[in-house]
Amino acid sequence: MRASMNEVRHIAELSALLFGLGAAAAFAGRRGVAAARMLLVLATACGAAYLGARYWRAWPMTPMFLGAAGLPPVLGALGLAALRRQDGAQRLFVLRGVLLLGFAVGALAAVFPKDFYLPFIKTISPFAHALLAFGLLGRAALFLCGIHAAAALAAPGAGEDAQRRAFSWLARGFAFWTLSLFGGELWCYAGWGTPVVWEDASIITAMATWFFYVGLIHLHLTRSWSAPARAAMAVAGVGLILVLNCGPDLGPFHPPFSW
Amino acid sequence: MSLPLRFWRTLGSIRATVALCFLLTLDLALGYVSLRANLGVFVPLGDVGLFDWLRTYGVYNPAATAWFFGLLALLAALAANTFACTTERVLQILATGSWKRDWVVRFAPHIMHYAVLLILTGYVCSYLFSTSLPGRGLRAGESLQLPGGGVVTFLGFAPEAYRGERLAAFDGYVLHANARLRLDAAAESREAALDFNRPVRFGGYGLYLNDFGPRKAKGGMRRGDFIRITLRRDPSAPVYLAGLALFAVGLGLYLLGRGMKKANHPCTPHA
Repeated sequence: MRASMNEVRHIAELSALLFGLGAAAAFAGRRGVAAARMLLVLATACGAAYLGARYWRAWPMTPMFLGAAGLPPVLGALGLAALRRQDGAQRLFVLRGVLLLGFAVGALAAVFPKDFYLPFIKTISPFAHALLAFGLLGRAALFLCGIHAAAALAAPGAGEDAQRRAFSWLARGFAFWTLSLFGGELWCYAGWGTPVVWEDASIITAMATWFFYVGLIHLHLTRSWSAPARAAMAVAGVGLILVLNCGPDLGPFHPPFSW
Repeated sequence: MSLPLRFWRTLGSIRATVALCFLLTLDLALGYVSLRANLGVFVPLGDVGLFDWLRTYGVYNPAATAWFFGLLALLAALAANTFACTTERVLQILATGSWKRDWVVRFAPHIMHYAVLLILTGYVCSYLFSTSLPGRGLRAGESLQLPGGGVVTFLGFAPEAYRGERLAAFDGYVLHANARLRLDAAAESREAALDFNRPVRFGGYGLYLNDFGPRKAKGGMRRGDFIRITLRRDPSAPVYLAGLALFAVGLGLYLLGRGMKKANHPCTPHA
C-alpha cells in the first residue's frame, strides 16, 4: 500500500504535537515529568517513522530538504541518550530543552513543509547520504551543546558539570558537522569535479556554521572568554543553526493536519 | 621581544583566530543572501576559474560579490594565522621533547590545522589552475576530440531503471544511465561506463556526466540517445582531497586520544 505525501506528513505533525505536549508536561510538576519522558520517547519514535518513510520513498536517492523536518527525532534520540547519564535539576533542564527545541523545529517543519520536491538522481551517492545523515547528527549534537550551555547559565552552582557536558556535545557535534561537510565536498568532486557547487547556496550556510563552531571550540579550549560568555555563545549557536541551516529547508505555509 | 617575533606572535594569536572565525560566519551568512539573489553571477566560477571570474563577474557586480572578496581576504588571514599558531607550537613541542609522551594527543590538533591549510591551498589552486570545458553534447555514435589528443566516442546506454510504486513519478525512469564510451588514444583504447557521480578519467581529464536523454528506459540503442558532459582537468584535486583525508585522521586521533575531556588547546594565547 502506498501512502500519499500528505499522509506521511501527518506523522511528522503528530511527532511535533507530542513534543509540544511533552514540553507542557515537563513544566507540570513531578508526575508531569514522568509523562514528559514517555512523550519524548513517543515523539522520537513518531519522528523516526516519518524519517524512515521519507527515506523509504526516496531510496536509493536521498530525500530532499530534511534539514528541519528530520531533526526532531535525531534530537530526541540523542537527548534520550544524554538523559540516561544525568540526574537532578540538570536532567530536568535537558528534558525540557530537548522537548521545547524538538517542538519548535517540528512545528516549523509541519507548518512550513518542503516535502513536495522529488529527489534528483544525482543524490544516489553514499556521499549525499553522508551529507544528510551527519548533518542531522551534527545539528542535534550542537543543539544539545546549546541546551547544556543554557543549563550552565541558568544554574551557576552546577555550571561546571554542565559546561563540561556542553563541551563534550560541542566536540561531537563539530565532528559530525565536519564529516557532513566532507561528505558534501566528496559528492561535489564525484558529481561535478569542482570543490564547490555554487548552484546550491546551502553549502555557504553550512560553512558559516562550521566556522562559528571552530571559533567556539577555540574559545572553550583556550578559555580566553569567561565561562558564561562561552555558554552564551553556545546558546546563540542554536539560533544560528535554526536560521542558517534549518530555515532554508522550510517551505510555504501549509495548515497542519489538513488534507 | 624583537619586532619580527612580535609580528609572528600577533599573527598566530588565538584571539585573532576566534575573531576571524566569527567574521567568516558573518561574511558567509551575508554571502548566502547574496548568492540566493544573484546565482547567475556565481555559477560560472566553476568554469571560468577564479582569476577570470574576479576580473569579470566579480568586478562588474560589486554589490553582489563584495562578500566573496571579503571571504578571500578572511581566508587568507586565517591561513596565515593558522600557520603561525600551529608552527610555533609544533616547534615548541619538538624542542622540549614533550611529544614523546602522548604524541597522538599533542600532534592531532596540528594535523587538523595543517590539513586546513592543505584544503585551502588545494581550493585556491583548483580555481586558479583547473581547465573546464563544459556542456559538450554527444549523440550516440558521435565522437569528441580532447584538447591534448585522444578521442571519446559515445556508444550508447546500458541503463538501469527505477521500478516500483514508492515514487510513482519515477517508475520506468533511468536511475543509472551507464553511458558507454570508447576512449581512444595513441597508447590505449578501452571502453568505460560514465554515470552521475562516477566520472571517467582519460587523457588527463575527468569526464563528468551533466545530463542524458531520453530519461525513460527503453531497450536498444536509439538515434535520439544523447549525453552532455563536462571535461575537467584539475591537477590540484589530489591536494584538497589529501587535506580532507588528513583532517579526518587528525580529528579521529584527537577524539581517540583525548576522550574529549582533558582538552588543552595547542595554541597558547599570545596577544
